[in-house]
Amino acid sequence: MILQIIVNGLTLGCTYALIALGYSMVYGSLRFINFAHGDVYMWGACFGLIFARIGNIPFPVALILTMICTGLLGVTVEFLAYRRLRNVPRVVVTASALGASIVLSNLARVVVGAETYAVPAFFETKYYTVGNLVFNSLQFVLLGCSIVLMIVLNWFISKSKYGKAIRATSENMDVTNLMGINTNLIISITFFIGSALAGAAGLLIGIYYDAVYSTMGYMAGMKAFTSAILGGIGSIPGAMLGGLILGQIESFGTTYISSSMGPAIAFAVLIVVLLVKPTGLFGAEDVHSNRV
Amino acid sequence: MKKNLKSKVASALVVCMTLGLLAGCGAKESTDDGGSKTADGDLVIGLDCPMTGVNASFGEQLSYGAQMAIDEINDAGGVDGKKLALSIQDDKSDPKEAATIATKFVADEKVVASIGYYNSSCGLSALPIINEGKLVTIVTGSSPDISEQNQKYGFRTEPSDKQQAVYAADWMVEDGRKKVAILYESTDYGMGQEEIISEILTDSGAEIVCSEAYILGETKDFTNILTKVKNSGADSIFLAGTYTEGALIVKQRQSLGMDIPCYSSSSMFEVAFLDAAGDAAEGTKVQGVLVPDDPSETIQKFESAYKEKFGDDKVAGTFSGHGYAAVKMIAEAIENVGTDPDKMAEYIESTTFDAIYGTVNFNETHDLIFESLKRLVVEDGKFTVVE
Repeated sequence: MILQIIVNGLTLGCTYALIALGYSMVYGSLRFINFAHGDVYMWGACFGLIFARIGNIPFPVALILTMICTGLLGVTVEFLAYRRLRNVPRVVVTASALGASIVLSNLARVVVGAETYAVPAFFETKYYTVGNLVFNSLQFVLLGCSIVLMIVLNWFISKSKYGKAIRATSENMDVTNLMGINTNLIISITFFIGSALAGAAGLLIGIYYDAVYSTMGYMAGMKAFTSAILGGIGSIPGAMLGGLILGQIESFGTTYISSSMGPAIAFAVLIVVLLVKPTGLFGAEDVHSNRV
Repeated sequence: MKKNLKSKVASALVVCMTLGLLAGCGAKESTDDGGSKTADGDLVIGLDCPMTGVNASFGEQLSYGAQMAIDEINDAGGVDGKKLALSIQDDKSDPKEAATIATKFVADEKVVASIGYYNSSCGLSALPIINEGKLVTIVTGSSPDISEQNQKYGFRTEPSDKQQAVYAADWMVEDGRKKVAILYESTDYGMGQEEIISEILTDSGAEIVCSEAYILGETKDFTNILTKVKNSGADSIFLAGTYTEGALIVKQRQSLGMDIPCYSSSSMFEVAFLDAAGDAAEGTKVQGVLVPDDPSETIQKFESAYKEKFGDDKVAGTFSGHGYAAVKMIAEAIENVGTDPDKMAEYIESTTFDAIYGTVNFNETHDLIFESLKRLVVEDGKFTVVE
């Protein structure tokens, strides 16, 4: 029973982690919460549904295509809704983000529809029973993809040239600009990566629960945002760990406290973190203050 | 630069607002859809149902069924030489909308009766208005509260939740279920069902080993709830909810390697449930009033006419039957006693109707008395009547 709860929580946690990464990366470089991020995740599920309906597309290809599509979607959102608002008060950017979120979810209602849709299977699901514990191949795929994506991201951020530029941009954009780095391009890359990861999470969750619907971004986005805060907003390992921890908290909470309390438990965590340690687990001390 | 941006933002805002206003007006002014022409119908029947949102498929069924009856009556010369027309209003499953619509129906002199109100909460908010305005109304919401209101001008054709829960519980007792898990949505409907089912099962010696609530439209991950069910040693599950969650539950039950049977009431008797659940739906036991595969001649004729009219992919379900039957009842009442609401209500109260799903009449609280609920089980991806 306990093991099964941990497995269920791990599946949830990995998706929260994937979405939380986008929140954290964008916050790291632009210091605002991209509220449209949850809807990018939802679009990942929608692209997955569209590719599944076309049929005959192998799963890895569908995953990569979905990541590219959602990545471009994220870049487009940044270009249209945020780029012109670099030097305005943050309230304005937040309003713009909420607007982008509404546009994306309504667009999905128009393109995909207003119902909950089942996703045609990419591959046959196999079940493995170990004692009283049940795994299925979907969970392995979900965990595997999440872990690989996180490892690749970590390598990219810490070892590659562009990763260095991303870190520099989040450190200090003006100085980075003076160094001759095109920060607009770097921010586009940041959005692309974050959105591609959210899109992957959307596709995986769409397949895992066999349910895609146009409002799925809101709650997942909120929970991923909580994960990002828990891990320390702006921190990449923090976002990963925060997601995994929140997954476990929610999994145990829904089992032992009340099954309809999932969201309430997640947001209670958010409140506690903000009260006790607003910087989260890995957050830099000055992350909530305006840097000059 | 800055100024330029400001003026751009301002003009964009103006454009958005104008669009918003236009959209708002559009929504307000479109009183009908489904191509019903109110103007040339002398007698209008108002239909309030959800045409958008999670229950849109039921609204579609109601409106198609009603439209079929209207066309049939008009083709046969109308009622007392007058033509009937249907005014379809979308309540979006929102009780506030339903109240507004009911007010509109009452105020419109052409409207002689109203039908629909798929969601119990919509029916409950509309009925007092309907009653004050003396408009004969046939509702399809299944909450027991509707008959407790016992409105003079309101009637109900869907078996109440209570009737359905009793029916389902009897079936489970008959099947010898001893340890039952109940999963219910945290709405009036779910909680009401859960209460009745628990009572009947415990009275008959079964044990409720697990009772879990979930949030309608929000809970998607049932794996933990089901892990609990699995651990409680349940031999069956009762689902007190609607088909979207029902489909997720049966699918996730399969992925946890559980093969205990699921029971539910008419809320799971939907083609949409089969589509969403796929082969995980096999063996689910539900109940229904109007069964598309019913071999009876009336039903088969109705089904084929329905398909011909609205397309081969449409299936006339329970609510198509309700829409159809309600229009027919109202037409019969007008035929016999005219359009005076008091006389119509009296007529409907005291008459035995020969409706699409059998011979029916209303009891003292205006609930339909009929014995036509049928047991159904999912076999090979289809609902099959259990003999």
